[in-house]
Amino acid sequence: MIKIKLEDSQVSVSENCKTKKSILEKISELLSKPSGINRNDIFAKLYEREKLGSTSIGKGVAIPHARIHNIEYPFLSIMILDEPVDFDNIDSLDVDIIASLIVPEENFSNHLELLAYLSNKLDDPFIRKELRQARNSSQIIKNLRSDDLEFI
Amino acid sequence: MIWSSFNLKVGILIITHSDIGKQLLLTATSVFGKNPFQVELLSVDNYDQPSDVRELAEKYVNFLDNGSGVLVMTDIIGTTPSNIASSINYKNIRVVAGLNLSMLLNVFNYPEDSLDTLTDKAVKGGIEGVSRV
Repeated sequence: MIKIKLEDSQVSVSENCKTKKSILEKISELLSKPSGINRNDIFAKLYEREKLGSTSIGKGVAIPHARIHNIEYPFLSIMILDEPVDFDNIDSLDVDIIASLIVPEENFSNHLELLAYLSNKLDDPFIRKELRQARNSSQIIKNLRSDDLEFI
Repeated sequence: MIWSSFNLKVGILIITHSDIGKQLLLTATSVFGKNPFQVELLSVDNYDQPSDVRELAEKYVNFLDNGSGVLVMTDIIGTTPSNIASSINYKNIRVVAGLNLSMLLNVFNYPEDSLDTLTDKAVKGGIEGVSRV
């Protein structure tokens, strides 16, 4: 069972972000308070990862992710945009679902399980449709639920 | 649904000694303008246990495969990174050793290719990058 933190303050809908950079900035802000990590530090890690290649997984979905020192468990943040944004996406569909993950540096292995899990979930057209209509964390958790995850 | 959403790309996993993969990837991305693939990096250092890295590599491959398979590129044949790559227990992967900038750039040019074709492009690009100047 992997613990993961997601609460209402980590969910943002109808955010008016126009660029990939502003999305990463918003995610850093959403994840900063619950994790206690400086937003600039989160941004730097997410941005550095994007430089290696987009974390877009296609079909309007991106999963920006980073390993961060001194956090107890993984933190998830979800952004749903009204207007899709160019995320250097790997297909022709701009991104409007951003599921961002920061995980403890020391527990890298769980990181990959979470990424694979999120990627599989978001590959499901029904789940994507539900998320695009979701307005808070409980509606999102309902759609991402799994026996292997414990949302805290 | 538009056609392109059916045509999912091959994922790429780069396994190298220390920081080589990262630096090559950053440079190739900068030269090419963008990296058109979903890619992840795995570095192997002296203190790493090969079995641990292999387990991570299998998780990466599982994450990267969206149905079109995964191309694994490693730096030099016969060393830990390529031994790990060739021991990955997964059906839909191809492994290429000898990673260089020319190989990466050639691969970047063919984002829509199938796994087998892309593997050939990687080998061809890599070989063509080595020549007397």
